[in-house]
Amino acid sequence: MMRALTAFGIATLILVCFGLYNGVYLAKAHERELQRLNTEIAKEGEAIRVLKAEWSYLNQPERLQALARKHLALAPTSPKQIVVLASLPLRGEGWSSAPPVVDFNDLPRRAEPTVPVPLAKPQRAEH
Amino acid sequence: MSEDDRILLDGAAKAALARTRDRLLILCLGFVLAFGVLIARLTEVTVLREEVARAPATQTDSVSVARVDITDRNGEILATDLRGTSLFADARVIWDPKEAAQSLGKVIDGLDVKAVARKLSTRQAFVWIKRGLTAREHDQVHDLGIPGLYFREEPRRVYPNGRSAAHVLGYVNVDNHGLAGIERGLDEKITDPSRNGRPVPLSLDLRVQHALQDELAGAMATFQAIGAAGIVLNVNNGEVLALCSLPDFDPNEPIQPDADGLFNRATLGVFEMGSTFKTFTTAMALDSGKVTLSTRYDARKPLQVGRFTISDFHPENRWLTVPEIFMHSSNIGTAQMAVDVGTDAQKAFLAKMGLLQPVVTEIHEAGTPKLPRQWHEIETMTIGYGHGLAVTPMQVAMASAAVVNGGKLIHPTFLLREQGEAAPFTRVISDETSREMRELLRLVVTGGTGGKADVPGYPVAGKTGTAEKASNGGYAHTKLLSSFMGVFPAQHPEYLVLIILDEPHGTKQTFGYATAGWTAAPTAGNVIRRIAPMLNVQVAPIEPGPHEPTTMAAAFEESH
Repeated sequence: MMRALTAFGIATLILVCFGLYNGVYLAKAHERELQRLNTEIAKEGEAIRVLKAEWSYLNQPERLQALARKHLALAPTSPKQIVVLASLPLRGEGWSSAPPVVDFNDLPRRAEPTVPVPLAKPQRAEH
Repeated sequence: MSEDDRILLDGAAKAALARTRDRLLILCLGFVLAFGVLIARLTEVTVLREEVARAPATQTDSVSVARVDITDRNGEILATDLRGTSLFADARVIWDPKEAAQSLGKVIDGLDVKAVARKLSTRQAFVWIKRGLTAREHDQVHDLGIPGLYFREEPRRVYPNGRSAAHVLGYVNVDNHGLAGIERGLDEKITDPSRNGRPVPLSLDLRVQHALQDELAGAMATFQAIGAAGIVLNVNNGEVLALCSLPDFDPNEPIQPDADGLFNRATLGVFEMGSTFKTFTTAMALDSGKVTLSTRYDARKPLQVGRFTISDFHPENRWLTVPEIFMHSSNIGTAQMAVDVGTDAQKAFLAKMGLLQPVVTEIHEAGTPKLPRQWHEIETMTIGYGHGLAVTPMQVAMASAAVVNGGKLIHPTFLLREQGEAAPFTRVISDETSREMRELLRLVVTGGTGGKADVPGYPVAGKTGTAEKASNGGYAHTKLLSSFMGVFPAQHPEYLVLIILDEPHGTKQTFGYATAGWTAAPTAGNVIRRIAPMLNVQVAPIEPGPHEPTTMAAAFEESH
């Protein structure tokens, strides 16, 4: 009886020891992994911040304006180019009979440069 | 133990053995108890307590504070924290301070070698060499391999849009503490760790800001002005969409030899606004009920008050109705209107409009208006047409918005309002007066001094103002302050644009005129033409001509 109890005790002790050490090692490994991941997240976060700042820097309206002037045949939107939906004739009302609400040929003041409208959308840069 | 021992023990020592066994048992129990406590404690610590394992303590000895991002209303980043590297030294470890300083001077731009050598000779454990190294400097210092030099990573404020909205954003010091603008005004909010990195969105629109800044800079160059200021304000909820003061500065490098750029003309500078102020006098007169649109005033000759003479810049030399006085910007007529209302009523009205006390916003740079030393009838007259009382452009924008938006004075803000959030307001004039004022302001553009501010498709209503700047106790005829306060669309204004040019000069194109109608008004028109489509303002059917008959114009025709 006593011997069996002792054997059981020793076995349990060994098992518990093993379990404990195993647990500790696992926990340590996880902790290291956690730390590594956290560092990585912080690093990625910092990289995202840098890229966002860079994006913002490259998208400065001033810079885009200079580039657009240099490379594009676009001009600021003129009110002439905008028509409210209500001023469009309805389908079936007859295109010819509907009087234009805005007479685009008879605009007051200031001759504005006519804006060449690009035929196709500018091609997207591939990355 | 041998066989003999067991035999020996079997006799007299049996009792002693039994005692020993009892003692051992007690000892065992003691151990069991002790281990039990240990086990219990271990279980509690490892299993029961729900505490997340923490990474080893991070460096918290950084001097710089972390700040959250500041964005515009569309989420564009205006200010952000990037990790910067700073260099410090343990001077006790440095062998040769002079040599170390010299080699550092070779790799770090603009390093004061002598000062560094002095610092390194102090034998102190911690001396800053340079805050905020560039990546290249970092590498090169690292390659020097001088013992006793250390790097420390700390947040550094970066403004990716450079000078855009510099005066709104302000700037920070080396320790990342806000020193001006929003950075100072909202320092607590921006450095609050409980925000968890959530950015602070401003009411500014970066695109509008750029358009304003671009046009102002253009006007400043064209008219060789010494300064300029501009504000774009949402008249219905008080949001500031853009604010610009020129000359400006780069918040990334705020320390400049010339401090003029740091001065915020738009919120801190006080100016005698000139005729732009007539908007308030006319609104006051109409709202008082003592004056109506058909009231006429004698403007046949300059007004003599004591030793003062009040004359008109564009003299009409006849009796004028209120709309005519406003359109032709008659000082004589406006002065009489102000007197009809009275000095006390004028003071009360201007105070109500927020023109006599500083307008404090999230930006602490708020100029205190300069009131006249005495305020009698003559001051009532001059203040009526904008001389003798100096106010900030921000105050003018706030009060003008109230004049056109139905009479509601709304405190301007730089913070983004929630969608559909109603702005708290104080009623200052009646809805009816506000409607009349809108028509009067529209008349100034369609047939008066503000014609060059009009934009086809986006009807503008506004008022020009050309003030002579006070100097040496008098007024200088050549030093002007030209301003234009415009709102659009004229019928139901949504936005206000205020343009101020400090000491503009005439050009060939303006026939030498530096007055507001030739300088500030077209600048405002240019700004509106650019920003109206961005702000989704609906295009009005383009009107047939500048002199279309309105109800008001008809009334004015009758008086001829």
